[in-house]
Amino acid sequence: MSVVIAIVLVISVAIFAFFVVYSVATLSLTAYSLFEGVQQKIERGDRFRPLRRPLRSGISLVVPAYNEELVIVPAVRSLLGVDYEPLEVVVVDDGSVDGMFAVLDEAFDLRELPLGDRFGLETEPLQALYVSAADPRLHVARKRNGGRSDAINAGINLARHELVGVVDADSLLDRDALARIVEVFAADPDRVVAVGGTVRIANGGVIEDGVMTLPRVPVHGIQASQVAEYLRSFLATRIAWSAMNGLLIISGAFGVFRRDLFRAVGGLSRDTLGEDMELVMRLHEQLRPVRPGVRIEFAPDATCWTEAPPGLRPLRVQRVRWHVGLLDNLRLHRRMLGRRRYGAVGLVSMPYTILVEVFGPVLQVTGYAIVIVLALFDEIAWEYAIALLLIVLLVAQLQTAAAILTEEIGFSRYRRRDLLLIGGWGLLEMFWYQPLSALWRMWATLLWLIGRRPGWGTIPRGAALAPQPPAEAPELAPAPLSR
Amino acid sequence: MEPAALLASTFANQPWFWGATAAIVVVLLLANVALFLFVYARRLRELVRARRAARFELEAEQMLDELTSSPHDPARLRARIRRLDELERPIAARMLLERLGPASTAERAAVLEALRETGAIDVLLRSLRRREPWRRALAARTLGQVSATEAVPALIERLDDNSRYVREAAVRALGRIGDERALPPLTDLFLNPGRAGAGIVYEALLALGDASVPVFREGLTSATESVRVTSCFGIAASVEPEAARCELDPMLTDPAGEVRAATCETLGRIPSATAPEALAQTTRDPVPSVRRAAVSALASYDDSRSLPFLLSALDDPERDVALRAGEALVRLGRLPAAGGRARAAIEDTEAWPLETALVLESLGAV
Repeated sequence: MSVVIAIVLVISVAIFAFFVVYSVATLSLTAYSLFEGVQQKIERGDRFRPLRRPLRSGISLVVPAYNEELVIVPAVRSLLGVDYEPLEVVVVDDGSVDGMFAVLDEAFDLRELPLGDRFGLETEPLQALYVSAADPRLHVARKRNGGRSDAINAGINLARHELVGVVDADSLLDRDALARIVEVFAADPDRVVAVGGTVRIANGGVIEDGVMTLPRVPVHGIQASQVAEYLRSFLATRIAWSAMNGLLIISGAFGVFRRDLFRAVGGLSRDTLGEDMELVMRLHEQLRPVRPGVRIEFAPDATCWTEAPPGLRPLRVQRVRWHVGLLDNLRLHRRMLGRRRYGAVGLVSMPYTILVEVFGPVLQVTGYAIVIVLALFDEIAWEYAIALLLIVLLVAQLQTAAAILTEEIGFSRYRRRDLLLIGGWGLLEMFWYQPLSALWRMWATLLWLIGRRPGWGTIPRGAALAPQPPAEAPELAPAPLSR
Repeated sequence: MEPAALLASTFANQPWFWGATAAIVVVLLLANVALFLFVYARRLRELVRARRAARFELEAEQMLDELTSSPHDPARLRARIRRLDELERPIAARMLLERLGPASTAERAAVLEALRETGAIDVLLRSLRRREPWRRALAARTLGQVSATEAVPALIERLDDNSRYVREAAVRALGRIGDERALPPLTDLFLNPGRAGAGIVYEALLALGDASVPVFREGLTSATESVRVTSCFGIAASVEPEAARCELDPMLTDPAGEVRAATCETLGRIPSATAPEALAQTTRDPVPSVRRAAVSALASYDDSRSLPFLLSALDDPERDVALRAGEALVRLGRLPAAGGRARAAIEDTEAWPLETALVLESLGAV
């Protein structure tokens, strides 16, 4: 019995220590993000003036797509409607078995082009290449199925502009998203090699002509919790990581890279599940020793709207895959850990990620298990448990509140009631979404440890991106005056 | 000892534990409440300001009508402009900017005169020192739009502003005013990049006309790649074509690929009947982006001597270079002097980049 008690005690102290470190680190990061976000707002107000040619680079947007029949046409229309030129959109049909190609052909009047050769990155073979007669900026490639990374690499092989953007087929871009991203490249052309944008949840919002006109928090709890989660992830942490040049990931849904460097480092890895993170870490690892000033940035005002998994099952599949990818990448690039030559990546981001993302879920689940067991045996120290729970709740809620504040000051995209909903779901998620997420990540850790690879699964598409009429008149716009 | 008791005794029985816990909970609770209150207070304030702004816009519309029409009552307008508050000033400035967008030079001059009469220029000059960078930037932009030459010294001062955004607004404004007093500080910004976007300084220098040519010439010898790149564009845009070609030709041997590529691109913008030999040779450069720019540039010269280089580039190991060569051949086929031979070469050649270019041409994309 004494051994069991000792183990429980050690674990409890470890959990407590983890929690203290986690809280301090996370709140510092959140405060830093808030400060940076507010600074950007104070500096620029709401006015945005895009650069003109010849000072900005052309962009090729690569859209990997597999069985996206329901969403591909509105997504492509949205991308072609972005206020940016020179622009090219390359849709890569990764061996779809639904009617995706047919709907593309019908909507954009595709004409076949010679396939050609001399593809820089190795991919599954291309089967056909088309250009749209309706809008020749659109190219569509069909290839044998090889997965998302393979499709993106194939698209990069076909891309013709200096910058390449990767956008998921279930995503929409704001009209000015590319101009805002390119502004970051233009501000420091000798050092910036990649820029990621903010990804927000489209579910529940009103979309007109491929543009998100009224974002709303969905009614469904799973989706609403993801709105809060994405807001925290992008606005409460990435702004800070970017400011210290320690970004470990550019979200796969929307990122722009220098094409020459994307190719030079070998494109996206086909062996890892977290290929977007892996590429960013590889860029850091390969470029920083030879170009110490190199920067990978985050543009919080460049927005992409994506469709969130609508239910528990697809969400679980997605999160397990993400977590296995994360573990893969931390192992693959462990050489950077703690090394000064990799700057904030080696000294801050990786240690933080290992602590919070790797050990966090394990300790969290163990903590839940201990509480449940002790409660079953009526051995729980309730005052202690409740105090800890209250602090955990308030720390998490503070992070959500800071993200909401950054959102409100910087962007004001949501209505008043939606902000309240985000705060509310942020609070509630502690009791169901967070434990579930921890459980899934713990499961992913076990899978990773025994060498099992989760599949990609299927995420039901189309519900969020289909045009919908507004359910009610929008609230009187409290748009910032300076906009 | 039971686990629960043991656990509790670890922290909960310590005298400091509950005090510290209570303090942490209170601080976190207050911080949460404060943040949410701040969000909602801000939203409420924006709502009130939006209503006030809507009301003021009507008034500002009349004021601007009066300002831009003659005759007007300067004394009354001066008094009203002085009374503009924090909310009203930026709204008035933005509305003025919107009006000036499509205005002719004469209309701008008239507006500038009216702004001087009514003391608005002084208000704008004072705004260049406001605390919020966006207000300083807006003032700089407005002064630039009306070409207020008296603002040049103050705008030059703003080139050292703490905020990059203000510095860039000042650069744009100085370019728009086009006063040569801005040349030395803009030259400094251009040759020592980092404090303002190179492209923005480039545009301002271009606006200064011939005076900026020596700056671009100096830029061609800069140690910084991006400065040399931008200088190539500057030379192409501001020097007479023949002279520009002479100055740009040596840049085709620059050690940096980006500079060589920019040189090719700029040479393509100042075409003549004879393609520079060095440009044609650059289609064999070791860097793909340079070859790509070179083949595209060759299509701008109505010179059939480019044909062998373009035909050879169809076999370039880089897919994109081959595609550009195909497009260049198709474009060359449309030019009066080289067109005949180019079309004949196209007919005699079977290469997928060429087929691709012909399909794209049929869609109007080449």
